[in-house]
Amino acid sequence: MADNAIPVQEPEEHYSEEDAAWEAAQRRGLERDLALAKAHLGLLGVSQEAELLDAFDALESAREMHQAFTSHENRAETRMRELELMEIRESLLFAEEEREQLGLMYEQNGLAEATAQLVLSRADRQIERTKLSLEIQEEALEFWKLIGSRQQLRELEREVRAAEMQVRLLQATQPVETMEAEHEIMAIEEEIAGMEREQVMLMDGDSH
Amino acid sequence: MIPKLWSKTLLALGIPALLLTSSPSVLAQEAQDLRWQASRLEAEKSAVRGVEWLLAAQNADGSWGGPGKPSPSDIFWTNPETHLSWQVATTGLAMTALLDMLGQDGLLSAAQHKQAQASATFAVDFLVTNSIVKRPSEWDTDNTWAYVYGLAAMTRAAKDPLFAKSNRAASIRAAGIDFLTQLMAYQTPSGGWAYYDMEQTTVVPQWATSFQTAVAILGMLDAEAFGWSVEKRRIQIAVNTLTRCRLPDGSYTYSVEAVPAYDAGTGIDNVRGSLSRIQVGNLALWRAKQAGYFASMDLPEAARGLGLLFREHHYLDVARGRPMPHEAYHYNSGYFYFFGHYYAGELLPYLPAQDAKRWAPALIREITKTQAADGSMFDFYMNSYGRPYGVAYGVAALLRARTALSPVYPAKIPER
Repeated sequence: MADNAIPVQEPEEHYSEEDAAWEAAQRRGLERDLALAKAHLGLLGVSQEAELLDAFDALESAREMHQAFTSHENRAETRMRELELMEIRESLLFAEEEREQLGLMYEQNGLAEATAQLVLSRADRQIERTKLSLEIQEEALEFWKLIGSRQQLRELEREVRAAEMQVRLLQATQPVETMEAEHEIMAIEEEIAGMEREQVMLMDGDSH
Repeated sequence: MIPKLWSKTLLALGIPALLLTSSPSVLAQEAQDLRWQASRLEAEKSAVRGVEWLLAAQNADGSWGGPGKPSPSDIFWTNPETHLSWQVATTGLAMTALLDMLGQDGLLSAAQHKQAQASATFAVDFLVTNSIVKRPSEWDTDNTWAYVYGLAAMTRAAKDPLFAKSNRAASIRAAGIDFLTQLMAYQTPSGGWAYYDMEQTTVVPQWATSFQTAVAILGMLDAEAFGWSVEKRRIQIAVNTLTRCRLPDGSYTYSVEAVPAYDAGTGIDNVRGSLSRIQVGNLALWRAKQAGYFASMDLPEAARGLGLLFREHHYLDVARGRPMPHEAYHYNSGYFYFFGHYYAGELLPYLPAQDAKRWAPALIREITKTQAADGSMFDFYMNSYGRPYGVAYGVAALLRARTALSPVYPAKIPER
């Protein structure tokens, strides 16, 4: 009996005013999204240009630092450390001379021996401290010449390379970002077009 | 030939008519004498005003100065024993100035003379009562100022007619020996003295300065001359120490250094930073040499040192009155001023007459210009000590300069 059964009649689709209002709201939303996506695309162009400029500046700065180090600062730093070493050597010499003169003066005077011994003992310890300081400074200079300056050079080279990579990275990623933004615009435009097509079809149906 | 206008001027000044016919060189000498006379009168007037101020400013206990009116830098670190040290030193100086004034003929009125005698006696009593001064703190050894100027005052009092044969003579001698004994206990291993224990904080301090060592030498020489027992060896060590401080340009290092060195640029250890130390250093070396100690100093060199004081005097002028120690160029302090001028005055009696007369007017000028309307003199804010010690140093120096400008100089130099 299923063949004789009266088919259930589906209600006909009807494009009501409510539907039209909903469609209009949807469209306005999409149009705003489109306007926003276009504005983002404009901003993206400016910010990409600024980022690239910064990256080129950083690269130039890193190259300059590297150049300054190889041409001047490496030598200047070495000389500065040599000067510090010389000053400590002279401090040690002065401390030893002063200790000797104090000893002679105190011995000649023979006054306040307890104070004299204390002063001489502290002068001896001062000499010991200065000797230690001299050793440390000598080691520091050797370290600088053998390792430190190379480390610093490598660090600067790394910074140049990193800056170069940053430039390249930006150059590679920026077109993608631009394409993504353009793609988003296209998608919204397509969605709006689809909505328009659907609306025409529904309106045509209503008129029949 | 003397122009008519000049003749009238000279006559107006009281120059005898006979001079109007004298040679230019005689006239020049007369003009010089007149300038000296005017300078001498200026010194007398200023010294009397200074003494009047001292008499009015004496404390009820016979001392001068005190902890009152501290400046910002005074109020943080002193203690009562510091102030006793400074009071003893200031009182010793003021008493010395009064005795110097009493030794001058006819400067004070009879009433002033009597008042000055009473004041000096009162001051002696204060010093005798306070001849034991303790170390203020582990760092502060200002007690040494009490010892050097207490000793100087007692040797001065002991030989003065006012006290020499008085019933105070024994107590003056005892107090003098007290000061001397304490002073000797503070002679550092380097052979000198100073007023702080800068680095070591030991019973006998380590730091020593050239100028306090020089003042100590002068006190010990006076004590020795007076017959008080001082170890010659200790004096010679101090003289050696002071000699060690002397630099080739004639200046003295501030501190006693194991390796003394000239300060280039704006340092203190050169002539411009040493103007006041030069005078006391040269005086101490000269007097030590005269007393038979091995010391290198001669009078032309001492006179040259005086010349340096007046040639570079503006460095002291700039420093005078500044509240912070060593804040002026070459680390000059305000309190260098009267100290240096006092010992410049003390040098004058030993110099040949032409040198003494040459520099005495400059000394008078540089002291009298500092005198305030009330008669006081001042170079540094230091509680209430600045004016009394300033006046005391100033008056004593003025009186030395006055004597140097005496027409009969050097015949009547009072013995010190």
